[in-house]
Amino acid sequence: MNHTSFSAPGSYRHEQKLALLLCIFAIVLAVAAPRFFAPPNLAALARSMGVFLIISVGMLNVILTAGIDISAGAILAVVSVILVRFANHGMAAPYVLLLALGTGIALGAVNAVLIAELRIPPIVATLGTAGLFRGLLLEWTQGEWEASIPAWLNALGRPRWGRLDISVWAAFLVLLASGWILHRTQLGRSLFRYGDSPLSAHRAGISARAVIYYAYMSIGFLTALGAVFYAAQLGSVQGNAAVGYELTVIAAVVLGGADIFGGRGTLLGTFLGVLLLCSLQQALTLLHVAAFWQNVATGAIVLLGVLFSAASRHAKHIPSQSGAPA
Amino acid sequence: MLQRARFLHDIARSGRLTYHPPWFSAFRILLQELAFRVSSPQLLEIRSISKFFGPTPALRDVSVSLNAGEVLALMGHNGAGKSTLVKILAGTIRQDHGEIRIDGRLVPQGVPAAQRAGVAVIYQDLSLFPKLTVAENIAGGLSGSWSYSAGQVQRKAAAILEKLEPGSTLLQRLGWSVKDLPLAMRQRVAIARALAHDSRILILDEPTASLSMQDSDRLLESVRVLASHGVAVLFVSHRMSDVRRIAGRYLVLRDGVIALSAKADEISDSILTRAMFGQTEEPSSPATSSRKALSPHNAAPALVVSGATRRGEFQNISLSLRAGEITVLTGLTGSGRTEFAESLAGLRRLDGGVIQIFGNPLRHSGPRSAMRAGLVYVPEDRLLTGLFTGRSVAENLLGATDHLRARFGFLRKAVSNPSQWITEHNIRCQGPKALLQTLSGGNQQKVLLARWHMAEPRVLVLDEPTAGVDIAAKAEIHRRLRQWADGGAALLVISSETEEALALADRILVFHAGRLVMDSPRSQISPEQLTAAMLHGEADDDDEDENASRGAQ
Repeated sequence: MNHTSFSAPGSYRHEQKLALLLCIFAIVLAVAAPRFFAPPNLAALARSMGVFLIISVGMLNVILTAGIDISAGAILAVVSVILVRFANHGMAAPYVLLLALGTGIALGAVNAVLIAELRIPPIVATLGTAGLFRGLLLEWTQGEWEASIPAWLNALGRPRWGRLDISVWAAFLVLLASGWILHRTQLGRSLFRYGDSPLSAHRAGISARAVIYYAYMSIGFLTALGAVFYAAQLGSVQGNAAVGYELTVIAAVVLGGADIFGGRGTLLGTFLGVLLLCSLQQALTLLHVAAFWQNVATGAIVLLGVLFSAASRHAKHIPSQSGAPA
Repeated sequence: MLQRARFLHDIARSGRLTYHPPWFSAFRILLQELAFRVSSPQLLEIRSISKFFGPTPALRDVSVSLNAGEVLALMGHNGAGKSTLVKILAGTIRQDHGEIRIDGRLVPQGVPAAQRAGVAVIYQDLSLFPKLTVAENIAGGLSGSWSYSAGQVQRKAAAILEKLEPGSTLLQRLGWSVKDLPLAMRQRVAIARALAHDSRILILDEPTASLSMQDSDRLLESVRVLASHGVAVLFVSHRMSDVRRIAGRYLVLRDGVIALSAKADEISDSILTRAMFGQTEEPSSPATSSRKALSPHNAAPALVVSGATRRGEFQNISLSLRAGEITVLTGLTGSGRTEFAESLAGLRRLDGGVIQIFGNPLRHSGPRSAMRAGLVYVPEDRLLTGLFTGRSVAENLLGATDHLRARFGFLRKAVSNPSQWITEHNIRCQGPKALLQTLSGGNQQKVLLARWHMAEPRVLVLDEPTAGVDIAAKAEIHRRLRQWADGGAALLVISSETEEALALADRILVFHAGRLVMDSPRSQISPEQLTAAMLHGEADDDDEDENASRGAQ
């Protein structure tokens, strides 16, 4: 009964392993690069995690429903360009922010319509919209850079309330809110149920439509929120921003123990996945490892982390023939 | 109601000598109807429901009522409209005509509305959430509250289980994922979930189809307990024996209309069967009639297993199968019979022992080498491991025998014509291109059998070939198996039904706790002996004769 007191379905075994991996990593770092633990470096680590974490929570929502959102990178680019363009044209800050977040939700809704109404598989639908959004954006910007941002937006990319970036505080709030929705509301629970077995969910009276709209609109909203901080931190944006960003996000969520076939995943795991990927990146930069080796290391750690869980999980499915399908 | 009034009026007119004007009888019926509603509102009333899929009617004018505490068996062969009726009651599909009332109140369409009205369905596949915990599955979906807490769900699930089966082992497993539970336990989770919704009408869809005898006994017992607490039960089943033991009333559907509705004690099995299949196509009694008397001596051993062992699953199994014979392997779930069969098929590696096919030792490197040697294994779980449900009938027919038709990996033009196989095996479908998932369970099973037939097996191992199919399809499958045996194949059929074992077998093997405890010709076994061997693993008195005859081969 010891693991039944947790609020999430299933146990936290994967998260424990991931935490162990992080500890080992930290010990290695303490020897190899003690500078890693200097406060400025930790603040930089937190700064690199904020946007990443916000979008990863959105991706977790989608992956829980056995879906995926390939268009997150494109949405990030579209929203940040819209944000900066309108801000530079002198539109007032609250309106620009509303416009940006609204755009994110609307683009998420486009995905949801394709998936829920036209029944296009999520990977195909979002692959299509990724190209669509990005292409329209490039057509609109004609490849031009928005090289400057207004002061108020710049301020959003700075530390505040202690040494931490505003994006980190925002990510913290997003985690709290998502935790509440995922574990304390019928809607949140139905994400798990629908992802686990759509047929069972249908028979239990869960609306597939509500689940899908919520999942894709939430990632749209969270990506837009991330885009605000992304633009604020970078200080300039262009149509080709954040290409392939969604893949890193998916990697982090999967590394965090979310089942790519839906129905299982935790916020804690997603947090740990993001933390592991970001600190690895940070440490390798600190150790002056070349960028392509960084990619290799990131890929390897994702596979390693996933092997922990996936290997044990899927091995079980094949030989146990005595149990009929549930 | 108007229809019923008219109908009764007609009867009144034809049956009576005194003539009443039409309005009189209508008026009287109206009065009766009102009085009836006031005095004893029936828990569930289904009134003249019809449902069409395209132009074909799935249900026509079906009316049923159900009282609290009553168990009504819903029977009928595949495609008779049982599952349509269940789906309508559950709210997953909408009826075209007619209405459903619970406590006299109209139930609107939709799953949540049906649940609120007290309807709970336990589907054949249980429709649980495999990755979620037991507690989540039981109490997680309770509607009504927006806010939700895991602790609350846990406590609620525990309370429900305590009520249903005090001291249940499930109480210790509230935090387990459902997929890690054995099937029988999953079913208890499904029942507990139904209770969690304070359901007053419980619909069970083929609940015993995939359970061992022991487990289905326990299930029937808990259904009885529920009924005694005032739950109305609609029990959908093919298994006559289960229905006989539990139902107070029968409702038989045939081609979407009610073929029979009667109290249990008024009806014989033969009337029931006739109602299900119509007078013309009553299934002949399974295979026994066409059985050839084969003496063990004139048949050569096709497959010889000696000392087969897999640690923790079965020990030191020695047996032989003869060409032209059907051998039935039976035993309780968990006795190792499925594991043994999978080892024969090359899906599991033996820790020790030898398998010989027609004298040649079989060196297993997987199912393909077994197939080359002429051994074919048809798995128990046809939907998961046997068939590709999203593919066409033709592809499923040819799918597993590709390598027999291939040269260096390139497929030669199909040697056989799928439509010919479809007619030959009496598969009901819209043609070779129809998707397999559009076929009924029995017909899917026939596709699987036809596919293996194509591989021209000399040794055929079938795990529960008739699980979850209706009597007609079962008889058809039995006939087919007998044909193959007559054609010179050696068949090993795994079955958990003693009736099936006795009806089908030339020879019966019983596994108990991983050991072979009985190996005798059918003629020397009584049903009592068989059950005893299955339950207690008692080798019967013929054991020495057995060994003697085995040694003599």
